[in-house]
Amino acid sequence: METTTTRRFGIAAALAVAVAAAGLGSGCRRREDARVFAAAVEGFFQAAAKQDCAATKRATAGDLRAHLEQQGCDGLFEQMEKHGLAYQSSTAVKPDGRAPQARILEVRLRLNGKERDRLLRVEQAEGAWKLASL
Amino acid sequence: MRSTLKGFLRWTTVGMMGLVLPAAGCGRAPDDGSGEPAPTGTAAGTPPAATPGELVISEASDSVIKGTFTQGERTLSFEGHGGATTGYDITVRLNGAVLTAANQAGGATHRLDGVAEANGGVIQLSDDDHALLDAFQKEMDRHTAGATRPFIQQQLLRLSALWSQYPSSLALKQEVSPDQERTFTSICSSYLQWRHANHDCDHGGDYAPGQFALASVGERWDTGPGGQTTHEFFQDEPFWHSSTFAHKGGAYIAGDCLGHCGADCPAGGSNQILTQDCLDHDQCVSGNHSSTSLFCDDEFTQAVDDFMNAPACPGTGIDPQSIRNWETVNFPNQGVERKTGPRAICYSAHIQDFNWTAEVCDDSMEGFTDLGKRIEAIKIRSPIQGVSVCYKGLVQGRTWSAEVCDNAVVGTTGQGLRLEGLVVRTIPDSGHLLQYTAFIQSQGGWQPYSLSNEVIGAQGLRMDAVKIKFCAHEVCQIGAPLIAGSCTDSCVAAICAADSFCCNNSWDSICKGEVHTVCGRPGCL
Repeated sequence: METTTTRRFGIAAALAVAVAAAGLGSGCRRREDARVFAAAVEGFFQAAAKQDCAATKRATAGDLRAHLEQQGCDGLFEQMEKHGLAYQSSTAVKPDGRAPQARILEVRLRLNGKERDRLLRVEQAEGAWKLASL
Repeated sequence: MRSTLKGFLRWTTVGMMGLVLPAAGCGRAPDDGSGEPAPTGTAAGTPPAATPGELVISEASDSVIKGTFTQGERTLSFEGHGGATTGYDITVRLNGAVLTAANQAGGATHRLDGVAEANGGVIQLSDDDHALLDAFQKEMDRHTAGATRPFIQQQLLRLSALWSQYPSSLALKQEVSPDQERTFTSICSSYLQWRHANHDCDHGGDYAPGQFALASVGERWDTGPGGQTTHEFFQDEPFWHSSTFAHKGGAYIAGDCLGHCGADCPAGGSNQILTQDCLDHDQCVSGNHSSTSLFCDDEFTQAVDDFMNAPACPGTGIDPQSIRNWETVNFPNQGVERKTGPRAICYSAHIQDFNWTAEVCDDSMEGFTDLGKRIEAIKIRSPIQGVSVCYKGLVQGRTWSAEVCDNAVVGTTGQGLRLEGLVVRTIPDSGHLLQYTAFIQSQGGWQPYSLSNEVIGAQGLRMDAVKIKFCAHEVCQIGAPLIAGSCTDSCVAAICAADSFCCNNSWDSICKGEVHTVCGRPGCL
């Protein structure tokens, strides 16, 4: 049986996806829900943590997708596991100055047991936001 | 120094798929395999042409450089003003991005930034940006080869090399100041020698044995298996491979001008800028973290000032000695020095957690200054015929050892004991021509050089690293070739540059005569 917490989370996630889908479909300006972008990053890290290469690739776009298509996932998975690379949170989201439909996220990652503030990029592809740089 | 994915991609795409990457080398591969539409507003989507591109310099003087570089459908424009003492500002525009760098007159702080040209918004540099910047700086290097470049041109080249490798995960806006965290160690003297390289996997300074390797500094491979160009190779004894061995402690890596603060090797117009930070970053991305630059961001950050401030190393630009190819190379076994030229004094050390390290020569550093690892034992020899090197050591908790000579071991292994002191001399005695020094971290670093038969180190303290140099004889004596890096007399370097026979074959009467003609000193008696 679903708990209240998971149900609430599920509803929130569904709303976020709905907001994102609406934004993608209409093209008009709406207030963005930063959780959508965070979810895109989180989806990548979750797939990578499971070492699911197909899902990891599906969570990517642009340069990062190209690299994974060329190199495969093994090296990335091995290094992420060895160094405990994990997503913690997003602290800011800004439009990519060169690509209005892309966003640059200031994120906090966990690496080797320490927190690091880094920049990641998400792009729209195949009707969803996906991680494009790592 | 190179961006993260390059090393892996280069061999993979060229060696396994038969493709040729753009001349850029350092830049990541273009985004041509994702199947995703390229976002508008960026230049991604179409790979840059493999041609070098067309460089047009519209204005060039001692204080100004302006022009454009076109490669395929992409154009980069550049403009720089200023000089070394007057301050400078440089702007590079490409793919809708504006990259800037500036410093004030006499100021030591460089301000870097990068924004979108259309709206000043935040950007990251993409693979395509990296490739175009790298192609530009290489063509600029070729174009201005042979001329004495004004400061503003040099700075444009250095910054373009820096941006061509700038990780997407780091903000483009930053100030680079020469504080304690921003220092460089030039490693020109290690050219074509094995040198320790370390990285910490973005671990904030925590190193481990699995994260160090021995890199052949500045060495260039022009052809590898199947005719690949400019690759890196990794040793898994007894074979060398073009694939990496991530975190294989003590692995050997070679190729692509490791240690150079620029995208793989210079185009031929510049000498290499060789520094320890750039070597460490190379080792991080090349041998260990080919999948994402995230693990090497702190190595890159440490190297940023090296790009702008470190000196170039004379004679390292297109030195044929640095170019090897896969078919003809004869790799030595582990621990054998690489450079084919003469050596005056060579040494290796047994270091805490690292076993015996590769032998180095002529004032190269043996040991580590940044790991806190003790030297436990040492071996020293001179390749010069007729010269013996004798030495004794002070081991932790013991008295001075008996003197040993010519590569015998002084110190202990496997007992966890520090080598705390060292005394070295040559037979015949060389007096001030033998100089050596120790790095004692707890005493603030390198001790002043000591002369033959003097003590280096400190009782009760860990010796972290040593350097030994030996000049076979005075410049006014004929005999063995003299090694510029091992002789403190600046006349040796001047004569070596003017007449390489003196330093590769023998120091004969002509070399002796050049003390007057080259160094401008009164003639030798």
